[in-house]
Amino acid sequence: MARSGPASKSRHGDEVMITRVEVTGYKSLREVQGIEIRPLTLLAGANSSGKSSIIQPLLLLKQTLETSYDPGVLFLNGPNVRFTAAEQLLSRTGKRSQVATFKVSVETNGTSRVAIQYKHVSKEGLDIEDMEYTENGTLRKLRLGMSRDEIAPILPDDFRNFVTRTQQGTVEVVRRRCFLDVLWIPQDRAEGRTFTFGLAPTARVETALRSIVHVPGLRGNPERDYSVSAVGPDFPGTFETYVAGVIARWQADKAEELDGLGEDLELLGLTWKVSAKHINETQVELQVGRLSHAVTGGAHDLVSIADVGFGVSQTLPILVALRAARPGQLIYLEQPEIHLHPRAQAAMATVLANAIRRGVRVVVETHSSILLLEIQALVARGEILTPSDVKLHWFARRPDGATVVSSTDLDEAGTFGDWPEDFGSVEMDAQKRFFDASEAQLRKK
Amino acid sequence: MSRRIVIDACVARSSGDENATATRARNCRDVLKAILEICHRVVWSDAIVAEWNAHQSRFARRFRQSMAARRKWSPLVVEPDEELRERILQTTGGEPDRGELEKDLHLLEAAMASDRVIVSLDGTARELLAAAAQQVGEIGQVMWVSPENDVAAVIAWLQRDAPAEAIYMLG
Repeated sequence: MARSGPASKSRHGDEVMITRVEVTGYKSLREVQGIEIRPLTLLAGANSSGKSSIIQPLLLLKQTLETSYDPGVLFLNGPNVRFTAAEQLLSRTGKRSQVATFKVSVETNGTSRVAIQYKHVSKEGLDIEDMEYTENGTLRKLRLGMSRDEIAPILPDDFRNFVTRTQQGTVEVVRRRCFLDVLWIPQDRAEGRTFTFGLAPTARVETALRSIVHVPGLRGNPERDYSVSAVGPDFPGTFETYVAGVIARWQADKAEELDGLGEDLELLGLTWKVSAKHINETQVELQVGRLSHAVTGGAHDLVSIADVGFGVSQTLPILVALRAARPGQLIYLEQPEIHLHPRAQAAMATVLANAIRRGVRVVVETHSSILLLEIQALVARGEILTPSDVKLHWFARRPDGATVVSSTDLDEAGTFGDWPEDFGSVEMDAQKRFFDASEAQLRKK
Repeated sequence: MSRRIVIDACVARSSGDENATATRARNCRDVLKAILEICHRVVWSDAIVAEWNAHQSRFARRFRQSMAARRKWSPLVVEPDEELRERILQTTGGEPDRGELEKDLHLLEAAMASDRVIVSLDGTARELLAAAAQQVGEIGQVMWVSPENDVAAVIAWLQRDAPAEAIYMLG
């Protein structure tokens, strides 16, 4: 099938980048909520406040696009997001009531936008209500069942002229997995001629969605051996399954990324070397330096990743993803601080900042006050990060359960002004409770 | 309305000081927490922040971090007013009082350059400055507020936007 429209694959320099996301009707995001995506985007807020929910629709689209078969409108139970029924993802408005539609809008490169609305059809699941997209600044809208006369005005000139001149075919809006497209289909298709062409208004956003690198919060248990996987440039599914394969490839290629990975591990105080030892053609063992810093003769002092603390195995997918991603590629990191000592959490800020300087874009969902504070310090020092690199989004839920997102910027001093709540004041409250109670006990003695 | 408040480093130290009395420490924490939660700002000069750096408790460090993150920890450039200093110091009875006053004049100058509010535990300095205010009228409008004296009333006053009240004024 030939397609018009933008190239489906872009390279460094013309990477299609997601710059804003808006979601409505999805889980606790009942009303429209949006976040700007900067090189380093931080999502913070209490548990179940909706941080993951703003990114999950992108992951739903990603896993729908990445299946080897057409899973229908949305692939609900995939590697990135798991539902068993559409009702589970629709916002609830009461004890037994929920919204009928949800909508996700994705802006790319600050100029183009695709917004698609899905509706719940009782006993049938999800269908596409309509899809909006911008073309050269003009908003277009597609829905299934549009007539030829309704479609013609929204087509580009060359496509419209062709359709007008060529009566021996039909033009119609069709579903392509999670999106809509306009296809011209020749009348003689029934005779075995399968040539069609279409508008592909979502080609750019599809490229951006497929290229998202998802490093989930649950990153698997350390294993004695790992299956070798294909390596990039995109990473379907979740990223932790690629880690061993990527390291093995870097090792075979003597790639500088492997040295960089060692530097990142050492900066975090975890280890200083990681190596992939081939067991057979399909499996490797990941080995890491037994000591946290390089010593003379230490290159062979390696142990299995299964024999060291969880910090290494849980952090390795993050570090490998940050080194493997190409400039402009978006990584979604869920809680990079998990299993890390506070000192390593602080160092993680520098690792992230270095990745940003290499051009990688990162969305971080975090509960770490230390990570945030270190990012503030890096901005204030002005060495690696600038205020325009960073965007902060705070998620909170109203008493009725709906999520509200508050967004803010860091200034040159690394400060962010009034956020609904900051980690520092939470910690201060905890310290106050401790001091008050402790001193009261001491007074009794 | 947000007030620009000067906080003496002794409050920062006592908010988590094991040697402070439990009541004094708790009162300091309550007042700092109130200042953070109400939309007041803390102003600091180089001299004030140097004292904070030397004396702040862990609790005060966290308070300062939260205030700074919320852009409520604001620098203030204060040039020493030698003429005013001399007039104040001339009101003292002797060298000990003069020394006692001298060490806190930077707080007074910072308060006069902002919204005339000082939070401090230093009762001696307050007494000396109140006496000086009888002769140096312009410092009389400065409010010197101690977390030790009826902390509930202090917090209520902060919540009322820290209006000018005679009970806290030096003059």
